[in-house]
Amino acid sequence: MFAKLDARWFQILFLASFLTIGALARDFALSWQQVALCFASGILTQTCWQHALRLPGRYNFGGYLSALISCFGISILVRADNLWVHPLLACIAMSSKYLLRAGPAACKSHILNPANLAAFLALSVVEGAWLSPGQWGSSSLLALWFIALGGIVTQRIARLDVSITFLLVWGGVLAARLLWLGYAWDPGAAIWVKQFCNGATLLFAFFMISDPMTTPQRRSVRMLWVAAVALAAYYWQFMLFKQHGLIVALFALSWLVPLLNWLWPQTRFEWRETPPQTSPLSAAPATMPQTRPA
Amino acid sequence: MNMRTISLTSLLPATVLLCSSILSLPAQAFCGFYAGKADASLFNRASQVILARDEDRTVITMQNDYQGPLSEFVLVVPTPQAIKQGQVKIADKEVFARLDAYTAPRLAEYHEKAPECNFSFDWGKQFVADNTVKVFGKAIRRYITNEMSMPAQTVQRGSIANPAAVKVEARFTLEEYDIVSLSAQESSSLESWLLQNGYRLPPGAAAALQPYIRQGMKFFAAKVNLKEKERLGFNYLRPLQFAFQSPKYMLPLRLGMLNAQAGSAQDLIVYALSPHGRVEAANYRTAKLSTNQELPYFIKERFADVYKSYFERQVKQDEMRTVYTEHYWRNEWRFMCDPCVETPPEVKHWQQAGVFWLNDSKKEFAARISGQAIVEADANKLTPVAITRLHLRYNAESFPEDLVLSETRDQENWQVRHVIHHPQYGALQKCIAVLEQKHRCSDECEPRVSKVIALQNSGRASSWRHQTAPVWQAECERACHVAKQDSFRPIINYFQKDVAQRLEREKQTLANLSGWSMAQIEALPGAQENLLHQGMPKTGKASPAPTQIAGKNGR
Repeated sequence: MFAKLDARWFQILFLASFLTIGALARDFALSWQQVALCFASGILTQTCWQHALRLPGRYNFGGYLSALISCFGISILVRADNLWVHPLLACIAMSSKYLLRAGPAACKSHILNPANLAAFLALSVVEGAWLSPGQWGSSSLLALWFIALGGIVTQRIARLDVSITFLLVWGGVLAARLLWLGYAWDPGAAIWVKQFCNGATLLFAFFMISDPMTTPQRRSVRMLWVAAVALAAYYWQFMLFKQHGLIVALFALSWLVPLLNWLWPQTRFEWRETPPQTSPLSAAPATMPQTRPA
Repeated sequence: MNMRTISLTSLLPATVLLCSSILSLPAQAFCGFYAGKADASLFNRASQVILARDEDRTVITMQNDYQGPLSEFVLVVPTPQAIKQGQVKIADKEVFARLDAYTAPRLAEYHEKAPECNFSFDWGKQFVADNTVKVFGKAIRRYITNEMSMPAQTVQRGSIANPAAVKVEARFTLEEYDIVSLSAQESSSLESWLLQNGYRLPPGAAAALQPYIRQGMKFFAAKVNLKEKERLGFNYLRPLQFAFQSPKYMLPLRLGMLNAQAGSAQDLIVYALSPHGRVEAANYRTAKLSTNQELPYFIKERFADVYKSYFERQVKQDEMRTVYTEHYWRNEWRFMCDPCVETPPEVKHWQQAGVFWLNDSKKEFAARISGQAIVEADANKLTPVAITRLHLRYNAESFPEDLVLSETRDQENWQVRHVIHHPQYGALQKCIAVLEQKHRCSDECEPRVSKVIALQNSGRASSWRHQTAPVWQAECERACHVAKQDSFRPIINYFQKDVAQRLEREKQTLANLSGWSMAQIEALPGAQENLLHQGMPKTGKASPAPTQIAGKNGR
């Protein structure tokens, strides 16, 4: 029965547990009002677009799963000193899925992962908003949970290759840097663990970059693209000495995905392989089947 | 082994408004007053650093906690840029004291008002007005049978290498300090150079220096020029302040750990000054500490101990892996605090602390960073100063990596601020004294009795039991005493119910915060004080003793 469940249900479950852990054990500077407004705005925006575009998923629960996932992502990542930032970002993030679309007809999709867009806007332009990459602390137990649960989700959506490639490249460059800097095992190993097994990194690896809709469809291209994201993030963070390298790198390189899909086409991803269905994530009005199988 | 790296302090300006509406205050409509603080002196081995930063320009001031022979004092700080003469100056120690006092965790105290002492005594009035015995009789009965039932008081107690591979970028004497700026290709060469030039280094220095060299960082090294020091006459080490330009916003904690004994922890207080928002650690968790807790009034003198116990507990709970925010305040030209701990820093203090974006100090910064002209247009624009006070306790295991900082866009003022409420001591005694002086029962009754007698004699009150004047007088005085007790009742209720319950809650809060046991708290001076009786006049036979009042009420 589990096998038939949309992988996004698992995603929601795990993101909800991370949000709860964060709010309760890591005392995220987040209020319940911000979370409530974020979800209200995200779902409302999704509803409006679904109905305005008469998308087949508009009367199904499945049509709103991705909105929930994005709202969890925004709540976990974005911090604000006011109440309007979260709903505003949720609205922009959900709208971006319908407004910023590109790619060859066979796999036309939104360009940006909504949570990534929200996080990027929060760190770059929105007044009173910021990101707290250190918020998870450095508890190794928490890291294990991320890896285990994130692994299940990404494996289900057939994008474990993305997560693994990313973690290998990112972990590799971090380790290479520490070796080059001449750190001894102590404290070199401890620094590496701290940088690598960090909640923000793992969340990114398993719940953001692994989004099947915003990564190149062909596997070989995808893996190269992921490695490029990790290297760009490294450049930003350790050579330009700026913060939030992962968010910035993914945002910047996402724009290349439609081009890569056009150059190296592959059948597009569907959230549920059989029977063929549509999902709001992949909801391209021009290419949508007209009905949704029960 | 006296190499010290990183210790810090200094800062800025302004006027102060005592009362800020930004903070969410408890229900009281009035401002609290500063009652206590838990400043940096509380923590041993606490270094203090002031980091004033705008964009990629940084001014860092370090306050040393070094205690040892001055001849052995060595400071080696990795810096992103070689620090040349003119980029360094001696800062005033006072600046650290000002910033510390301005941002220290604080205790606000409020003085409560007890319920009003309202004497309401109307014996005889109904008589005259209603002219019926019935009412009078009822009134008397009510007085006599009145039981001032007090709610039961609930008490819950709660190698050799080539030194030539080291380049001396600058060497100069600045007041009592001999300063060199070095760049090196290899850590072993740097170590040899430092040793040959009289800089004593702890073991492991070369390995610790290597990562900084590879990152292209330079080294700022200072030792005390004993001759100059004697001439200048200071008996302490004055803070060093230097300015540089780099995208790196970090504090090299690791080098300082070489001095520390294995496993021993050090405290660091960072005053991060920025024009925009709150500063937090980018590579460690930053957490806010508990704030706005209501504590028992009797800890006023012990607030520093309370805070210290709490901080230690919190550090233990978080396994010494967290950076704590103790204060964040954004100063929009008016330097506000609630409550203010001593006099807030003035503009000159902020400037001394390295703030260069305040109008006229921009030019100074430009001069210090030679060749880096600052755009004149924005030099005229006034920019506020936001101060974040971060406090961390660390050792080599818990903080394996240097601290990287990041400025957020958080503009919400926040501070560690706890509250005490003083009950209105002596309210009961004051009430008794007023009643005795202004409302003597015999005086109150005489005119009333006269009126009653007059009514009686007029024959218009034929339905009454006629009494003699002494009988009416005695009845009136009895009612008068009961009325007085009625006027005490709200005050007794206030102490025995409201204050007592609140105090129990506050003791519990204190226990949770400090980790002290209820028995320890109860043993604190003042914890057992009987507030109801406090301030009671020792003599004065006219006033009933408070014990009597409580006793009567309980009857």
